[in-house]
Amino acid sequence: MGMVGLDAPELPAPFEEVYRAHLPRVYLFCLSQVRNAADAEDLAADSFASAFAAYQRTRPPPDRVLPWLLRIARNAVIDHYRRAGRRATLHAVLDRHAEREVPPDVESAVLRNDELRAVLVTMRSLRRRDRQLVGLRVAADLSYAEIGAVVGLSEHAATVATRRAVTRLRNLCEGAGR
Amino acid sequence: MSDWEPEDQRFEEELRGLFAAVRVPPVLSTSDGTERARPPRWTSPLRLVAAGIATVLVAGGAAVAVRGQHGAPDPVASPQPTASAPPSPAPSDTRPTTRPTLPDAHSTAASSAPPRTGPAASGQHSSASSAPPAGSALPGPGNTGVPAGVTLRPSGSVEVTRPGTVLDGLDITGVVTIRAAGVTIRNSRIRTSDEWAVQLVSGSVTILDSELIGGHSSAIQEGNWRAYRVHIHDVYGDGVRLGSGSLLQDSYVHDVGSAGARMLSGGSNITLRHNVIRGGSSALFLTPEGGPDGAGPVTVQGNVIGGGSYSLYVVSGQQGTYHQRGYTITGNRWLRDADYGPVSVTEPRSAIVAWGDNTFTDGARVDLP
Repeated sequence: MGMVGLDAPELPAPFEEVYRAHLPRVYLFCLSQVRNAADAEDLAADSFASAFAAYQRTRPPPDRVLPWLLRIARNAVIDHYRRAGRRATLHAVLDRHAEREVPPDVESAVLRNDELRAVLVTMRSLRRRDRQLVGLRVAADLSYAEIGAVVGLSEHAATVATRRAVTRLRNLCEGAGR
Repeated sequence: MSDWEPEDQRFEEELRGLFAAVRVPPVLSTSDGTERARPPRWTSPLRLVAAGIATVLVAGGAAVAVRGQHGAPDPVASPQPTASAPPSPAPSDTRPTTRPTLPDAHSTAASSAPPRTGPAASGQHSSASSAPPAGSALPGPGNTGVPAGVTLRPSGSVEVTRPGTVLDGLDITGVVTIRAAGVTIRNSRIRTSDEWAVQLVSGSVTILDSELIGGHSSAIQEGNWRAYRVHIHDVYGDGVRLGSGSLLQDSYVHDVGSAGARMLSGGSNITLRHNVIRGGSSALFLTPEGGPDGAGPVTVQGNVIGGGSYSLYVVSGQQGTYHQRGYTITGNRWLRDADYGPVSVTEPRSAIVAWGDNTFTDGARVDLP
């Protein structure tokens, strides 16, 4: 056995830099997935909180930090929908006994852009995988290779899948009269 | 990609413009809207510690508690169907002694696992050689990786050229390169930012009670290796690469960028037994991929798998050019968290010599598509 020396690991950027650099794309991705700006902000905050805990020991190379963050955000979104599903089940039970108050339309209060709001509503009709791919492409502004790194596909496969997802969304939007 | 039209391109650009115009909050606030003037939530480590104490897996109707060591959340793991918080990816010197129980245990094969052996240098191993193997306990952070009480010695990359070498109790930052037969790695942690944590150039290696973190291609390169009670996580590529003579048992694989375990060519004597494997794109991607054909056997038995587009792929290589035969896939449990379904098969049915007792964790049967 020969010891060939310790590779000096590249020091990761301070997390605050990571946060400042990538907050917009992580937030916009979350927004593309949940439609509601308040939820998006919360999910982005949760994603960075989780990332902060793992950053020092995971030490992703600088060029892989954004895909890594978006993997965390993607899973935060999945968790969000699972929680929402459980809440919906609970509400369905409670509704048998009492009428619920109609929740305020938070999204209309925050998203002034009607066109974007319409797109977000239509995106909910996409399958989860397609919605993720579209969000990573147009909201997080990732290359196909970066999308592949987030969802675990080769660049070629990510390109094909993402383009098909965008085409599906276009067809849905056109069908909705947008 | 022929269906990508100029209208699609314009549509994509238009969407990108819509999102680019959104005002992004300069500092994130909590959902109650009270923290805009305060630092973002990630500045509070107490909240993080409180967030990730335990994971609860519900499988087969019974709850299984897996206690994380450091309490930090496992950020990249796909969420468990019923999890309150995922387990910690943090390396651990002091594995907790409480062990989860497997609701639908498949202990027959696990009995062949080698027993734990304490590090010769420290002599502090709590379970020592008399301890039973992980057996029927569900592999998780509590019973995989470096056992409690082991003192690790820092090390850089290691290249092994002498047959029979034993690496014991090392905390390695870098790569272990194997160029010899009969090598053993045990009670060790390997953390890498290279292509592999364990690079198998030639020879063979057995990995026991160890933690492998990172790897741009995979934590373990394909080839003649055996791994027992290994905790593999935060890998950018595949968790492990499978080749002829590969065996993964009683191990926990999660937080991977691509497949939890992947074949790249046809092979024989490939075994995945009694593991918990959660994928990025899939948990198990079984294929002769770039050839040649493989005769098998390939045994997938008693695992809990989840994640991915499909959790399990059994597919031919190069669109039907290469084929793997001799699959035995029995007694596995699927989490219901794959994007499209539990299984995708493109190999001829004759490639699968045995398929049975495969269910979701709620007991519903998983059939071949």
